[in-house]
Amino acid sequence: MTGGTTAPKAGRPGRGRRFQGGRLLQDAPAGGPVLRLVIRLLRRPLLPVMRLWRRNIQLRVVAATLVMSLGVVLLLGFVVIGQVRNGLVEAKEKAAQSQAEGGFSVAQEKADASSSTGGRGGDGTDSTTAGTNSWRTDLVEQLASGGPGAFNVVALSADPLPKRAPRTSGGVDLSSIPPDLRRSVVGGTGEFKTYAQVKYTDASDDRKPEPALIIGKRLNDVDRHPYELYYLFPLTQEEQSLNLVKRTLATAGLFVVVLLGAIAWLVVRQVVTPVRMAAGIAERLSTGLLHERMKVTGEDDIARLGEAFNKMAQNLQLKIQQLEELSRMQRRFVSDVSHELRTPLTTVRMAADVIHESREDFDPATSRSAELLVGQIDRFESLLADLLEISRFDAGAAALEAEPIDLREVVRRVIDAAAPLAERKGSTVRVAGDEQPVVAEADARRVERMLRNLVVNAVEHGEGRDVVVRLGAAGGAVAVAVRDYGVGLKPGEATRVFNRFWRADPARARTTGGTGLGLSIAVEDARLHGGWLQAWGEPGGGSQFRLTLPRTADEPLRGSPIPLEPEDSRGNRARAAAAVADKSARQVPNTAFPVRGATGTLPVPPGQAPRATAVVDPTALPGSGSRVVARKPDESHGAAPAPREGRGTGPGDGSAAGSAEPGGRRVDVDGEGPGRTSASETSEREGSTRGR
Amino acid sequence: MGDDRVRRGRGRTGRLGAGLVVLALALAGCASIPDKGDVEPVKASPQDESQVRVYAVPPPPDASAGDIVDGFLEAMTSDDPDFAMARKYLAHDEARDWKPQKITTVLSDAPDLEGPTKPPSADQPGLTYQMHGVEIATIDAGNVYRPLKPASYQRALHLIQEKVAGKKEWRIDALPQGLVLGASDFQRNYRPVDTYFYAKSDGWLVSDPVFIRQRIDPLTRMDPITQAVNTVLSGPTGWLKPSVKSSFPVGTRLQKGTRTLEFDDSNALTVPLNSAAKKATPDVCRMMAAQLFFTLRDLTSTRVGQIALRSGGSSLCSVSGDQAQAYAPGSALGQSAEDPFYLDPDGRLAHLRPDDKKGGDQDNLVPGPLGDGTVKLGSVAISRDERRAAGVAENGKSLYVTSITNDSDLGSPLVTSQGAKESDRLSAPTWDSRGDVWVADRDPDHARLLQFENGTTVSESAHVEHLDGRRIEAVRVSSDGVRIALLLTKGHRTSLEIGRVEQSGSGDHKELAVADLKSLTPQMETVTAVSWAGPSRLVIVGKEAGGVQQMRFVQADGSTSDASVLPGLNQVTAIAAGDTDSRALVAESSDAGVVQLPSGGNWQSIVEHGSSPVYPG
Repeated sequence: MTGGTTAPKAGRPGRGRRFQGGRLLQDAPAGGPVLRLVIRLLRRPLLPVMRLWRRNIQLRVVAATLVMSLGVVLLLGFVVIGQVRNGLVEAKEKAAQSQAEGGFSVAQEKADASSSTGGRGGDGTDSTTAGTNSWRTDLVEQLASGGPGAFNVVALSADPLPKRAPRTSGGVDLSSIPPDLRRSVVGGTGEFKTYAQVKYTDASDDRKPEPALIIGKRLNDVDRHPYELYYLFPLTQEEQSLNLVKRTLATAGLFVVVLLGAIAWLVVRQVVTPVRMAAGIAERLSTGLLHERMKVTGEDDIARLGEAFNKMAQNLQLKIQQLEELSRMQRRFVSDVSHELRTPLTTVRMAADVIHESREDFDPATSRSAELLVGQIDRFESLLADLLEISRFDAGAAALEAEPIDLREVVRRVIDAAAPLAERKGSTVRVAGDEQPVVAEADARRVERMLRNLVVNAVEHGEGRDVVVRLGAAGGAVAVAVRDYGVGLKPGEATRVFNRFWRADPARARTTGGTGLGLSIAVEDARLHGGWLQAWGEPGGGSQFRLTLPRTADEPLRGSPIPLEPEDSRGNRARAAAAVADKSARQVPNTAFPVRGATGTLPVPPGQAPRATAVVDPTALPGSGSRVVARKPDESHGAAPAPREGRGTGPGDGSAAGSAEPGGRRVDVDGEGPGRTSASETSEREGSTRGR
Repeated sequence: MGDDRVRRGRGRTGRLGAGLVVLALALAGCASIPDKGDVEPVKASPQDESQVRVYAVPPPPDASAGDIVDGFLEAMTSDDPDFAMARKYLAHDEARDWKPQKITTVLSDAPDLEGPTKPPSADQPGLTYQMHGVEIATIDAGNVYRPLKPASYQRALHLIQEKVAGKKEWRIDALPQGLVLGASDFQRNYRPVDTYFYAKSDGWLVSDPVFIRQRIDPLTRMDPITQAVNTVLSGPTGWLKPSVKSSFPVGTRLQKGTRTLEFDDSNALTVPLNSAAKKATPDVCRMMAAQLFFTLRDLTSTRVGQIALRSGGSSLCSVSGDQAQAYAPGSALGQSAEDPFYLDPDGRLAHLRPDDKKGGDQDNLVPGPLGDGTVKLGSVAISRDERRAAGVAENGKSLYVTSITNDSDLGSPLVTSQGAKESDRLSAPTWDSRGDVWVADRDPDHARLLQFENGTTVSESAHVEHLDGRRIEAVRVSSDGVRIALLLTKGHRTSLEIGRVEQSGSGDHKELAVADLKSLTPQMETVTAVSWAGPSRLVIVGKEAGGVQQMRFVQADGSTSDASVLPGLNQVTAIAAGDTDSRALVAESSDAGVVQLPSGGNWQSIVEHGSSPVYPG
């Protein structure tokens, strides 16, 4: 039961896509096809990276280290550069200010001395007699010669319309003096300073503009004309120092980040390598190689982990061996007991038959006992046969004798065989979908046993109502669904019906003398074929059992031609009604949608993509006790259909919970549509769904 | 076995440790300031130009007449293209006719203005300002500097009112042609450059100093290097023209539109010429390139690596620094690195060496009759090959030429002066680079300038033009032999004049003349001593009117710069300088003997009792 599951594994992208060739499985659109294509194109190269990212803890740790150290380095770099910059600028500013102050006082003294001693303009005709241009030029020259390269001097006329030509030293362009500084200098009396770009006008060598500190003051020249004197201190040295610091920090930062990344990589590798080894060993252990052990060196934490792991593996191995032994013993015991019981039972049987034959000679009470005896011996025998069969399965001794058979014949035989019972129960067994041969490679005996079991069960629990056997074939799979309208299954029972000796109502007496092993054996048969046997049911709404088999042996199943939840289930009917109401409200034309015949089944409402049916994969469930998780198709498939109604939320929610079919796809085959092949039907509907 | 492995392991660890230590040491070496290393030449960085520029501004509207005049004077000092701003201060017609390039007048200070004076009558509108100043030099249209005797300069600027943009504005309508600049503005805007041409007779380079604009020429828009190249292509200045020739074919000019020339990273300059240059043969082309090489040598702060000439699209030739040395100016007989010479108290010729404090050290005396006291020399000159010396002995009476490398005969005097006093007899002799000895006979009755060909008795009297009765006190021939510096005395005034040596004919018909004398130091009242200090520079000892004795360098065109004044020294009677700046100046001072001026230092006494220090030449 536990090993070698044939259940479809959910969430394998790409598996369902191949099915599109069979035009069976519908692919619901999500957004426009172009957008989807773009997203897919974008995602494709990223997918391996994303997978690596998800799976590789080393990569994540290294990336995190890189990002964090980069952040730290950047922060540190900005702080340090800011400090250095402030320090440099402050020092330069102090030196520049004292230099400029000295220059201004020299200029003022010169002007005062010349005007007091020279006595220019004494004749009173015009005060601008002397060659002031020469005076200013000489002044600028003298001041600038104090520090060639360290600073430049500019003298401008303070008049709004300059009467005097401006003078610059060192090829400074006049536009280097910012206008707002000029305004402040002209308007104020003190010194003003600002930072600006200094441009040069030298044609010979194209000097680039430099950042500079400009200090200016308004002064009076030898003719008592106001003029503006500016000192320009280029900050190239400071800039170079700052650039040096920047370069150094950038280089150091880069090294630190890279080294930290490498260190993180190395350190993490030390931890991750044993973990990976442990993971590999654990994987091998889980596949049954119980002899695998970790290599343990040293005595650090990793070594302790390895030791503990090895100890665990050893204990597990021991326990598993014990359990296996026990299980084998038990199976052997059951088998032996069955065999051993047969011999006495044969004797008892013969004796009972003798008694039974001569029961008319007995008094009525004894005669009744003889009948009871024979009946119970019949049951005993069949129970014993079932036990033997199941123990054969458990021992893996069951062999498949597959040959192409037409399931319709099998169904017919089964129905014929069940006719007396049905008659007794007052119900009729109808067959649907038997217009065409439903051929599959299968073991006729086992298939017949399975179907008989299902049909008998259905008749038995059908409470006199009709039983419908539906056949379907599509896309490498054939299916037979047995639908009854009896008491149905309570929630959760769909998973348990396949358990051995399970009874829906323990108090209910068995009228047909079922052994309680029939469905278990059927499941084992289905699994032997590589097929599925699944159950659906709702309380009071009957149940449906679906057997899906691959058309050829050894071919994996990807879907079933018949939905597990029948279309006349309560949930489906409610949804259909809601959709019809919705459709009439929205007035959606559905000309593309084929109208079904009046067979009692309801069309899938337009605008509603095929739902992921709540299904049960019993082959994976019985006895395993595992929780059934319903997966959204979107999770497993990128181009999944648009959101659907939550499954199992319809009115009268009695449908059994179950796992989704692979890829969230569903094959709908309407076997009752007269004269219509299921494949074309499906493709038509698919087309209409996509077209929307 | 186990032991062995342990030992081997230990050895490996040791090697690893040693490797780490070596690595750490290497890294530590990288991280420390170097305290040793190879010697490498320092690449000259472009010097920071701290020169002041004046940006001319247009006349403001409603400016007063005084503002217009001031603004115009200011605009003349700027580098404004084509003096467009200066012309805006002029009346319409005058703006068109004013030719700033015609002549540049240099005043000792920026011109003073006087005025305005009203016109004499009402029907003559306008105002007149007078520009005052002391003119000290002019630059003519050929960029030749001419020093002037400081004299009063006065020119009138006449203003009228003219309609400008619909308003009456003052404008200058009468002004002198050319620019008027103060000395400081002149030095700011102009720079001297020695152009070089080949001496006609000898084929070595002779310098021809001119002035070019410091920055872009406002009129031609050429940068200094282009200006210098252009000047060379234009040929020698008028004064030097008869004695020199340019190797450039006639009509060679810069390629049209060339305004900037720049040295590339390897200090090479490519000069594009017009098609006339294609006529030059490769030899001539190299000579052309050498001319440019020496012209540009002093113009750039960086060493000139190579000069390449190009015409059209094809390269003509290129000359590197080493190749150009073959044409070096006046270097036909280059001076060796020998010490200078002097005369000891006994009139003997000796090497001037620093260890000879007293003078007359036997080791320093030259071999031969001049060093052994045969005659008592009064002045001396050493030939440029330093093999012979010319000495004036016997109180200036006789001139002897003899070897100073071996003990040879003194021979008979080449010439004997008949002067009555010592100061009326022979001047100090001088050698030119052809090996001729020059000497002036100062005999008032028989004044003459004599040249002794190759130091032999074959003498030629040179005719000095425009001597105007002045007496030749001293004579110095330049290293190229083309120019001759003369000290001329008339009355109390001794002036330095420079003339051109012109030789014509040969043998008996040889005619020798000193032509086109021009004064180099008109501002000096008296020049006491002179010596060539390089191909285009002299060092003089003199006195300005009302000043004290000073020593300074003077360019061969008479221009001086502030940096050319030398530290003061008293009572200098003679001075001598080597051909390059690396040779220390030596001088004779009456109170300190022979002194020398190490570069960057002050005068130092070398020999207390000695006289007539000379370098070869």
